[in-house]
Amino acid sequence: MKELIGRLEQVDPDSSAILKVIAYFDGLVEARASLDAFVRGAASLSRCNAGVIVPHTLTLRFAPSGQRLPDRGDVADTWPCKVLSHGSESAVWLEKPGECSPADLMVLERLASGARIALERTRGELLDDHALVALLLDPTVVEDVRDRAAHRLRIAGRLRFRAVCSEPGGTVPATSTALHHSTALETSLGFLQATIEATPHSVDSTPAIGSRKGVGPWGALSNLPQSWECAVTAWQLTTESTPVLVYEELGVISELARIPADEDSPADLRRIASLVQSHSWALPTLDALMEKDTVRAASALLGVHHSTVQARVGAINSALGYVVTSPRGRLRLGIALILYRLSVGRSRRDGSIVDQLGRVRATAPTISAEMPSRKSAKEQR
Amino acid sequence: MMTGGDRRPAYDPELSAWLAAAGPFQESFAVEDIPGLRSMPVADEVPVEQLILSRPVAYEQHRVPVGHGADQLAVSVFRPASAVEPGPCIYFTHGGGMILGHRHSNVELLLDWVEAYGVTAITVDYRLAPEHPFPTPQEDCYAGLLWAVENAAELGIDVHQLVVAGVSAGGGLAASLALMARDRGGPPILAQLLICPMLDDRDDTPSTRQFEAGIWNRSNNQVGWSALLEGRAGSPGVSPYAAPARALDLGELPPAYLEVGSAEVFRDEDVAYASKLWEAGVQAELHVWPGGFHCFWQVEHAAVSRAATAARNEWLGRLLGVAEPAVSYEELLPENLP
Repeated sequence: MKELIGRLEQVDPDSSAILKVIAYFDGLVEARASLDAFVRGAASLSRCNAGVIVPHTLTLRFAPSGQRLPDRGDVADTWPCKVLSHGSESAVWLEKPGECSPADLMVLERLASGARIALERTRGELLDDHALVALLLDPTVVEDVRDRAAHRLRIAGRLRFRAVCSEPGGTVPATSTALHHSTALETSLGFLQATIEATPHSVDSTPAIGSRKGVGPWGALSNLPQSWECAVTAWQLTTESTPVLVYEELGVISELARIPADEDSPADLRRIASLVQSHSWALPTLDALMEKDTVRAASALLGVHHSTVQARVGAINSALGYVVTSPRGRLRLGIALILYRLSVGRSRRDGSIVDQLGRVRATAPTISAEMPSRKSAKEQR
Repeated sequence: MMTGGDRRPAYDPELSAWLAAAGPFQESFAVEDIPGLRSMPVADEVPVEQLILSRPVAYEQHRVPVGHGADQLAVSVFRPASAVEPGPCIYFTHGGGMILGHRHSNVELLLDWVEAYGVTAITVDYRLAPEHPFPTPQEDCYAGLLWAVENAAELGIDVHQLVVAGVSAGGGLAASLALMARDRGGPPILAQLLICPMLDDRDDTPSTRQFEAGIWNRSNNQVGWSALLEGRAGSPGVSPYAAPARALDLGELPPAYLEVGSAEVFRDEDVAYASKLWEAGVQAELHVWPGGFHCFWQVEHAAVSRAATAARNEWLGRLLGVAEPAVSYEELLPENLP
């Protein structure tokens, strides 16, 4: 009935390749598929060979036809590859040199996620703490796998959980009562430090001030993926002078994060992007102008002479097309800055990503060959 | 007593994932919708000329006169490009519920057999219901079979190695051809290869009640039978050439290979047909693949599909005396050996 299937596939011409990938992997997760099924699915969907390696333990490599392939002995530097956990040598890859389509990147992402899920089910001892944290923050993970990952991390008995987002490698935002586990996660914004906090109480606690942090809301274990998403949103809105943001304290501002990113970028955002691209002082100055009521106070915050900032304000006003120091201008700039920060790294419905300069990238970069895990994985072979 | 209802074998994980990704299926259609279904373009169909480009396969087309009028059937013949001696022939009838499809609907299956086993594969554009109800599709297929035998020398066919094969409705037609050849003293059939065959018009098994939804579901199947039998499906007196499950005697039939998914309408009628063949002293190999929906093996990368294809090809290899089909170098590497 392939013919019938083929005919009817066209009933829904809008279903994009990415939606197909998501539906396929969701189907595998729901049906509790095995690791090899995830790799075969990745190979079939991306129409290239795909593989997974857990050093010293297993290597699986499949052709798009589903045929098992021998271990090649190396992973080409040009192949897109994703580690199963930060710093580990366990990885998945697609044997597709050159630029990946957004759908291919989604395949790789979901293959890594699926590999963690399948391994947790069958060979949980192979997952390190970093992989377990990634599992707990993964919205595609089903409940039994999440529960077992929490158990393995020895936080299953805790009452409340939340996620904190910070710069990669930053200090862990520990609170006195919370157990925590932390890892670096690759997101559309690049690598970010993800920390899970778990407390035995229902008390709130704000993490210690340090580097920039976005703090997600407390909730049940199953809410951790949403808490992480909120933490990333909050982190995106942090500035030099407001380094720690608690998502719940954003109030109505968090609603702005719900605006779909696939609309054409508004002119106000494009102008900010252009200004930020042209002048390294632009973003700190805009932030300082929002933070302080007067140009003089903003100058003090920036540690720059008042006349310099006054000149910058003139350049800003002409670049943005409105007076940013007027009451309405401040409001407009404040909202525009929030939307600008939220738009960065947001993957749009077609899979493309907006970078910090407001440019639309068709694809995200592949992990560079310099990653230590890649090198050692190769040496291991 | 009602069986089925909410209880049914689940789809295999890889197959259910494929279903989720393949997008919405038209769960039901009526006889009136058939012309519309036929005219819809097939999403990923590759023309046969393009498919054979990279294969050592020769392709020719013939026209076979049928009946008393000027009607002609289009027939495609695929042969190994290098064949010199007459070889085995697979006479193939395509799927499509007796109402859809054409002679190249399952052509990749044929090209694989031509390449792997050196067979000549012949596939015929039999006329379709409801415009051409029973017995036209069956008689068209039989006429094509006789044509192949009559032209065996020209086509490079060894008439003693004639296998009838078909998918779905074509599986039913292949079973009908075996019955017709037996009853009419027709050409000797070496074996019948019945891939998820459509055999029983009576719509009265646990599996048909279990699969009211899905690919080639109960409703689709009712439409197909109704079109073929002009609304008389399930009534007394339906010919076994239309619905081979109706045959009272399966004795003296050629050995059969039957395969079906555990999660499809045809499961129980195919299992019953295999049982009746054994009862009649006929050799039959039956595979019920767990979690397979109708024609699941076309989702080629799934492990269960690969197992089904491998089992089918191994049977063909044993039948044709090519017990070990050619494998690629990669398959012989130590890592790939079981």
